[in-house]
Amino acid sequence: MGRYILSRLAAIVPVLFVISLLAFGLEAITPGDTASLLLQAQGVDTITPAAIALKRAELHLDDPLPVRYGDWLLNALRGDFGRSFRSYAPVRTMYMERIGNTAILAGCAVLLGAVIAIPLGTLAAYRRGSIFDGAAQFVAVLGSAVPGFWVALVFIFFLSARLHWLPVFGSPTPKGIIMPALVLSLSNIAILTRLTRSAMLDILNREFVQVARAKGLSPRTITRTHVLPNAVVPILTVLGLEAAHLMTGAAVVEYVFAWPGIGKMAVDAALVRDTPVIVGFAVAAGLIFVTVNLLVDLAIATFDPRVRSV
Amino acid sequence: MATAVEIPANALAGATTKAAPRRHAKLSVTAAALALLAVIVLAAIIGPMLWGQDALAQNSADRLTNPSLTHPLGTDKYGRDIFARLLMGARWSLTGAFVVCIGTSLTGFLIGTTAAMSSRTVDGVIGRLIESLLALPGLVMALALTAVLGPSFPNLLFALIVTSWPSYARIYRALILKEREAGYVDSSTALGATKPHIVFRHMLPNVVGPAAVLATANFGGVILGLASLSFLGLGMQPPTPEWGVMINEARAYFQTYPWQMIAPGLCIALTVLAINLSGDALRDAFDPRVKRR
Amino acid sequence: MSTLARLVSRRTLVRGIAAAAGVAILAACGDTATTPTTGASTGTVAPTVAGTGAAATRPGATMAASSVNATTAPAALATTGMTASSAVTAMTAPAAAAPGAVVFVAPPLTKLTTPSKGELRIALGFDFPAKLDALKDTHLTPYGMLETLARQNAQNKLEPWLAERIANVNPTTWRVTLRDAKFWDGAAVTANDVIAAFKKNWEAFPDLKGIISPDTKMTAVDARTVEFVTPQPSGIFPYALSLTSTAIHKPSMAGGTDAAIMTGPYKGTKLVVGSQLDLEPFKDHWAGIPPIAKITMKFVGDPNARILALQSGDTDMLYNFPAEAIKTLGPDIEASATPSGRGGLINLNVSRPFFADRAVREAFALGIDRTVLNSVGLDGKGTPATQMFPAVSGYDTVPLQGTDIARAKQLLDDAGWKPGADGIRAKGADKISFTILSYPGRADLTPYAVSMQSQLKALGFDIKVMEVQDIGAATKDGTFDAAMKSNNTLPTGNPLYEYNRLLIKGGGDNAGNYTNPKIENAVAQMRTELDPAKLRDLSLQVQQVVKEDVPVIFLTVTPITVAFRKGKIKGYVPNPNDSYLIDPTLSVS
Repeated sequence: MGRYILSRLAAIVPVLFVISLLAFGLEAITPGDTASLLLQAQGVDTITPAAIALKRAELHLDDPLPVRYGDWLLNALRGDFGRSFRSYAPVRTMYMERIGNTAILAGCAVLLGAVIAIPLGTLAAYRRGSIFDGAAQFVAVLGSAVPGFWVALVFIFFLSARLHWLPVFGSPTPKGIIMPALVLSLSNIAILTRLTRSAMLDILNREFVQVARAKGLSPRTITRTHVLPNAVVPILTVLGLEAAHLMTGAAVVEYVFAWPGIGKMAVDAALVRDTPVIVGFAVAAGLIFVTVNLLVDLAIATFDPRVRSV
Repeated sequence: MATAVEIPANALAGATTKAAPRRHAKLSVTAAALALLAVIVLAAIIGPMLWGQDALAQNSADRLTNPSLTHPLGTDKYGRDIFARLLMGARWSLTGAFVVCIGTSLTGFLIGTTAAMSSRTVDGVIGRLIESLLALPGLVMALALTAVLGPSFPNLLFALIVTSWPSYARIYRALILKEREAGYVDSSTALGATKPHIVFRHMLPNVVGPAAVLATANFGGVILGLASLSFLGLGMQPPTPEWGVMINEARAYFQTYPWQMIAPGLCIALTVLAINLSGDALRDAFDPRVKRR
Repeated sequence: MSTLARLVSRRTLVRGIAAAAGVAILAACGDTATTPTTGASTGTVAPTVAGTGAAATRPGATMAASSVNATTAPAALATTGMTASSAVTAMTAPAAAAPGAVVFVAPPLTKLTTPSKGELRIALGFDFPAKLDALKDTHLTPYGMLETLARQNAQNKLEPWLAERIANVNPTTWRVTLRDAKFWDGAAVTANDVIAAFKKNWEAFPDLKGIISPDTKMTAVDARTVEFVTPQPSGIFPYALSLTSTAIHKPSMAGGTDAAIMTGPYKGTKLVVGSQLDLEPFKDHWAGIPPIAKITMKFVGDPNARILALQSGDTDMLYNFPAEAIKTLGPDIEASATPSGRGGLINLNVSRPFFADRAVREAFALGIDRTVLNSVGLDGKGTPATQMFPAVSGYDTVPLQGTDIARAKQLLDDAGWKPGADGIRAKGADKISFTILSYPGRADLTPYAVSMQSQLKALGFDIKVMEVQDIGAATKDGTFDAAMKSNNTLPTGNPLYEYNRLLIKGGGDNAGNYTNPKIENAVAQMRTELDPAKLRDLSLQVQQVVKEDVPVIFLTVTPITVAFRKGKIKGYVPNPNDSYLIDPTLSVS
């Protein structure tokens, strides 16, 4: 297992390198003068050429690109991703403050999705071809076809403005999380239902299940001892990936619900071209993906010893 | 949201093992999806012409009207016919997604092929790059890139292409590698054919099928991605209609003229639904395992 | 609460104010006759208007000035709406205010004694300052945190605020008597604190030096009286005391460089930039115990979300939302759209080849149907603007271009701009094809642009519309074609404010870098002119040039929109100046 973890960790290095290149590239192609934008953010009232020159020197903006990249990398390794063009707050702090909220939302959405989709998919597999199966499949296809932000808007109009049931603005409180989590879980439910259904079908058709059936074991026992353990790996993989996707891809939905997470912050930053914050989001998203992928791999390796030897 | 949609296409491609107990039921679903898709595409291509009303023509005397025979979906606050805008929006949304799919396919093909046809080292580097980029969320990167480049429709399309080619490149690379092992490559090389010649003359026809499947599977996701970034204001600028932009414009009128927002949302959902279902069918047709079942 | 100012960048605004004030002469009774004709006939202007109106509408209110012993103002002055300046000449030397000298006095104060109660939640469409520091950002006045010595009331009249009395002792000497006020830390606001705050303000806001000379001598006559001696007679002095860059504050620690301690009725307790600001009452405020126990302000950039939040009960009050939403709010919401000094306009970049030709600019102005703009942008709740200043300003105005398509076409034809095969007019290689920049912060602006795009197509203009988030940043480098703006014309109560930021070289809102010697000249004269008749003349001259030269196109007058849950809020009086929101008259039930 130790060697497996090491090899997985080694595989991350190039990914991190690519993330750093992308992030630095984004920063480098930003139009406008970083120095004067930062001075503005600092609240300096009269921005003189001298002040700009000083700031440029401080940020090493006039160095050749490879040197600047080296600087960027060193700073990044120290956790310094620059400061916002707007608030002059350190980008890292801004993300650390909000990432918890995003994680809570993603977690709830994934959980909600799993709670709904796994039974749905399992039942659909057992009753293959029934109307229920058809309905489940339809839900699955539909769930991934509707635009999440649109569903979010419709929800807000009905559940908040009309019925006054739930708050318009999402917040990490029991009432405030319901709508955002539900909207985010829609695509999740779609994917998981399909996956669960096909994974279950796959296993149900396998020899050992047929054998177990022939031995006269009850369907419940078969499900518990043979089917579910085998379905865990693909489902776990998708759950993990989904969580990672929701922590980053949920930006638009976070924005609609004014959820105080990193996605909304990134969209806000994108709308005002606050490059350091935008780049920070790319970095954060990359790191989240890498971490979640690693965790998923490790979890799978724990469940399925065969993986480790590969 | 939209990125999430891409997962089933990628992650589940291998896992999809559809038993087909009601073959004809499934066929009818596919037929319905294809028909719907055909209607939508036709509407986008000739709809604006047939309908005859200008999606941009403003009429201050006819602001915010309820649906009528002249304006089946009513008019917006500028007195523009919403149905005409919906048709024009279809054109932009579909064209946009089409451009992105073609762009990503081409980029992916070129890079994937370059990798597959190059030396081990180059292939290794490109392969690593592709794997690394695949580990990053595409829509997020597109959002960041569009924001930095400045919001406009071409920039948005460009950003989507730049950020979503890796999944294509990976598949093309694999396909070409497989083709490379086929006998005809060696014989062509022996006859003095150049690499580009081999790739375009001999390999390309063989990978077009799987490539089309891939592009179709992603098409729906691209439409959703385009719509959500346009909704945020990072894409099409007013007054040109695009479905995401239309949803944003109609938001203020949801309580008084709800169809203004419902219509473009439904259009997106139906289009993606039709494309996904057709894509499934297409994949089944190309996936030998499904046939076996 | 000029949202524009926030969007356009604070710096620009300060510069604009500075420029305006460098200027102004004014003085005296300080009040524009709201109805010019009446003013003209009676000869004695304004004073009563100033005090009573505000006081009557504000229970417990404290700050309406009963000001002014204005001398008779010439009839001409009253009709200019330029505020009387004759008082300046009438002033004589004696130490206490002489009869006829300018005095602003706050009415007697009935201290509020009821304990604070309830919570007020407000959703705002603009972000909070990065720091609650009056030297970093003066935009703390609307939140009820930062106070100035004087302010403009709901009738757009000047009244003492943190001061009790502002009196002109002789042409260069102003005596400011402070209220019995305390800072948030419990210490009394003394004359020395005021002097210290002014010194820091001059340093932090260099543009302020153009309004009040840094050579002004300040002396603490006693603990609560400051005497300001300006190097030259300065009619604008009392008015400048209402600029937020002259606010009174002190550092959080003795000798500190910040300005975190203020005097307002509510103090900030928690600030999350980009999201939320919490306020609690300052029980030792000079007006008594502030009525509201807790104020939560949320920044919600999206106007639709703000409206939904009010409907769902997530927030109690909205300030500045799209007027068209009023009819959708429902029966349990009270909403109003009241006339303001704010208006929509379009800035032209005159260095563009087509806009360099005044025929094109005038044709542009003539080609717009402003009634349509009013309906698409404001749901008919505003008014079309065919003059530079809205009616509430009281300023005299020159009627500007209305709609006249035929004349517009004639102008273009005569100037050689002929329609090409594509219908777009061109002259040589120059096509009338340009982009209008707009921003979503003011919901009416993009609809204007989109509407104009279609209207002017008939004239052969090819227009694109592009939304940017920060219009100030987008127009700063001068590479734009045309830009939508929304301007509050009322600050300082003098048209010069607007001329200076909009029409003068280097003006904060002169994004298109327009210059015209005639305007420069007229404005320069206005800065030194004391005769009201001549001032009026010069002001009209400037507007006449604007009419002839069309550097800026005026579109609409925007209403101030406010909405709250019925019965929830008491004592709210909209200020046409769009700069004040929370004060001790506001309470919740």
